[in-house]
Amino acid sequence: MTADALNATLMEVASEMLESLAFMFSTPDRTDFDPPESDAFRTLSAEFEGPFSGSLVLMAAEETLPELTAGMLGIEESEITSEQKEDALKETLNVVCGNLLPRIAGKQAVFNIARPVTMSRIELEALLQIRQPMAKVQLDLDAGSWMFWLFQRD
Amino acid sequence: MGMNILIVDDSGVMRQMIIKALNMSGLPLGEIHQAGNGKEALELLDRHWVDLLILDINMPVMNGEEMMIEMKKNPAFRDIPVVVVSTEGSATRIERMKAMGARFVHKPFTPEIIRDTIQSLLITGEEP
Repeated sequence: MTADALNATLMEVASEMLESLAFMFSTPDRTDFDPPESDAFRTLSAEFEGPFSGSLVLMAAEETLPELTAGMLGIEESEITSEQKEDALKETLNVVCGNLLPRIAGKQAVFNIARPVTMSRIELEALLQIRQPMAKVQLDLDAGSWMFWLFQRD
Repeated sequence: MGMNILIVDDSGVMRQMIIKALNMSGLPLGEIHQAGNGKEALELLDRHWVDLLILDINMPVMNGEEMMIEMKKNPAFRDIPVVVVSTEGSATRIERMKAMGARFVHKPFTPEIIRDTIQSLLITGEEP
């Protein structure tokens, strides 16, 4: 797969999963961007091992989390706890990762995906210094943007 | 009498989504139990009668495939119907779970898929 094809696949899978899980519609934005220097984002990483190993990193605007969580659980935004927002974001990254990898490596490939963990923007920037992502995309949602980076480990 | 169901998933939000889907399904529900991994689920099975297991694959401590292997070793648990609800995309692993008797529902799912899969597993024995 070319870099453009990988970006397109990541964009497609992320959009589809947001729509299916939480009825959230996104607009593909761009692939040339850097992590924003803002505290208004939450960053998570899902490590995976299989025919190729690495991680899928998500940086999501904090403002998008109430809508995501309410959409997944079918409850009012006012009823949502901080823990539920964190869990909803982790589960969404897990579902994106689980659906993305077979589209890249084929349906016979077996991957083990670890539960997503929180990472800091500084850790993400450090990772970007030493590793070129295989794919990266930014999606625009009503309340803010989501950015994904797919990294392959050596 | 409703079905007692054990939902095993490391995400509390996903367990709630499955419960919501079950509540919308019209299926007769009894007690709903929850566990965050296979080990916790096996301990729950020791204490509660369960008619149906809804099981994720990728979980910490003991994953869904390891749990099913353990269940098959125990005569008290080996015949409990299992629906695997997972992001798993590997046909190889899905076939391994199906060979142990499980049905498979891919995440993300709709309430209709959950309902049809459970109905077909418990009533007709055929794939939905």
